[in-house]
Amino acid sequence: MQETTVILHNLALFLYAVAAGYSIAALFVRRLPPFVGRLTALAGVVTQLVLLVLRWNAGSHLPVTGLFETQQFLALWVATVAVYFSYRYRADSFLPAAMLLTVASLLFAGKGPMDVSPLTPAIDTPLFLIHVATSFAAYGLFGVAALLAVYRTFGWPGSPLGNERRMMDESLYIGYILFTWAMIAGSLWAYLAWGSYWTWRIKGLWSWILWFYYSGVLHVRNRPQWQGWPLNVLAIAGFALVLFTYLGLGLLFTTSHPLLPGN
Amino acid sequence: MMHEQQKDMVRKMTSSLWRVLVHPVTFVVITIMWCVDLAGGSIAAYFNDPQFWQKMDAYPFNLWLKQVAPKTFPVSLWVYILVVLSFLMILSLLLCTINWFLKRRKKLKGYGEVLVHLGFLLIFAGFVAGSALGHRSTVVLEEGQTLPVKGMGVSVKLKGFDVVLSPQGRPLDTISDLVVFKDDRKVAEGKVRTNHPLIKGGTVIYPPDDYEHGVTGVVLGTSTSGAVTVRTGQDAFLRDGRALSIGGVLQEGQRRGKVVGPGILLLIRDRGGKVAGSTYLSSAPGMQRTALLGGVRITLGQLLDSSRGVFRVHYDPGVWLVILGSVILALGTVWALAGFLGIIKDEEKDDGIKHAVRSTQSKRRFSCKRVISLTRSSQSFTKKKVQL
Repeated sequence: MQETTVILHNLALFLYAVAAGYSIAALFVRRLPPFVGRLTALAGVVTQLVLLVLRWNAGSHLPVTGLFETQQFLALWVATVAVYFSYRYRADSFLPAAMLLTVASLLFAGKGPMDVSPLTPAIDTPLFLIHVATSFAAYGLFGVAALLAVYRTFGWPGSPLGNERRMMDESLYIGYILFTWAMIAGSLWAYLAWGSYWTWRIKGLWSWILWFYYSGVLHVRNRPQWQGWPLNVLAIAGFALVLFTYLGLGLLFTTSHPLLPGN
Repeated sequence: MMHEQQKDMVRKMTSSLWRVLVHPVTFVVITIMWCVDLAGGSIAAYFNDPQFWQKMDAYPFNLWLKQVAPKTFPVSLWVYILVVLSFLMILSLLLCTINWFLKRRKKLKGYGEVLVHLGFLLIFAGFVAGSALGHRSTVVLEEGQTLPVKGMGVSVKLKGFDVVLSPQGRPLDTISDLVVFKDDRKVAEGKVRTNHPLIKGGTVIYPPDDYEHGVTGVVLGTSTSGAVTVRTGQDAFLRDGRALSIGGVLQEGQRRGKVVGPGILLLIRDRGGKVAGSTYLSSAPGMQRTALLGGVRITLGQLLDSSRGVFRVHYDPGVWLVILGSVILALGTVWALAGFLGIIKDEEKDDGIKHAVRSTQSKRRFSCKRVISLTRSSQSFTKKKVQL
């Protein structure tokens, strides 16, 4: 399984890198057809899906444990959303940024062990798998929202589409709902495994900060006063908070949470 | 007339206050303060004492707030602020939800969000009830033993205990067969393992955090002191003042190098406590049962087995409110998502974004009109000046 994983991981990485390069070139060279970039990204998504199914079959559980699998899952979500946006809203100019985020995520994934390991009793529960899968899906969507905010802040390259606000809204809203499910599943899992749905642990507390932050963003996102740069700042700051909750806490604090890199 | 004016003023003021209280931005402002307080406080608390969280988790929140927090003041000040902000946030959410029912009860759209609000209010109510009336305790049980759990009004019996080992012999999990009694009447029974506690109402018994299982001692025959019993962590003294102790245990099925369990690593210490020799004795087929240690012939008699676990017992009367709230909250998100996806499909529908964008545009149009009219008036003024 390890060899297949390495091959498919590198193939997906290559396809996303090509999609990023091509879509950047397409921004400057008008005669380059945008569908080639979309199709290459789609091929990357299919490759990752094949890898996901194979690892699921080999491990008999949804492969979302450990650094490699969680980052793969994150990359898959970002790429899928980018491909969806490029087909639905013709947002081909968004592909370069999304593909670069995907490539970064896959490169980070490569730092983790790629073997398929059995679940330890503590994480051998559907609640854990739901918790991680929805968390990383939400992280991916919050990342997409932040990228869209960067685009909106510095000007949309290529032809203006007018749909970027809607794309951002979809990313924030669906991301928030997925993150809510992650919090519910995580709390229920904590209750069954450790004795309380609420624990005073740094990862749990910062996850609640994140949830409340995006609750606030959702409350103001359609208010006229918050349109334009304020919403862009909120989306970018939100993703910075995501990165700190996921990476920063693991680096700064000693925590037993199994989702943080290094645990 | 004056009386009417006063009444009108009071009505206007009440109405304005209500609008502020139920305004989403009020909730957002309190939420931001809550986030900043928790973020800053959590980091400060950790750097002040890295064990802060573990200590906090050991008590129900209310108990911690009453007994522990005052001792760590002013480090714990942020927790008090957090409590105040939490109640303010909940009040804002509650008023917002009431306002929704008063203003929009006939509209199906928006029920998802209201369910999310209601679910969260229930979760908070459950948390408050659990913190105020909850209790946490531990009970140390040996296999076959029944003991009351302090402050819980129940007794627990450990009927059976087993350790789940990996193919390499590494302990993975434990399975405890427990019976719960209340007033000498059996009220619950079940096997407890990781992620599968024994739940009876608001009382939950978790698998042991700490346990001993299998060989915990040995009866030895010695050439100088006769039969001697040695237990883990307890030295047994020979007649000449030297001591025997257990340096390590291999349980049945475990293996380290060439030695196979069940067996013990036996140490002999001189009068000063220094290790003078060691040997491995095992009852496994083919392994040595007799050895010469420090001039003493030692024979393995009987390995002593026992199982003992430290079980956590939690009582949280609010947990069912929390679970109900979570279900309502989850349903609310599904409803909201369904509504949202409907908006995406129906492009012509007047949704939030279009409204927001239109409002912004109308404001801009207004400013543009003003600029144009001002420019025109200034132009005509200049023309007039030129004509003059």
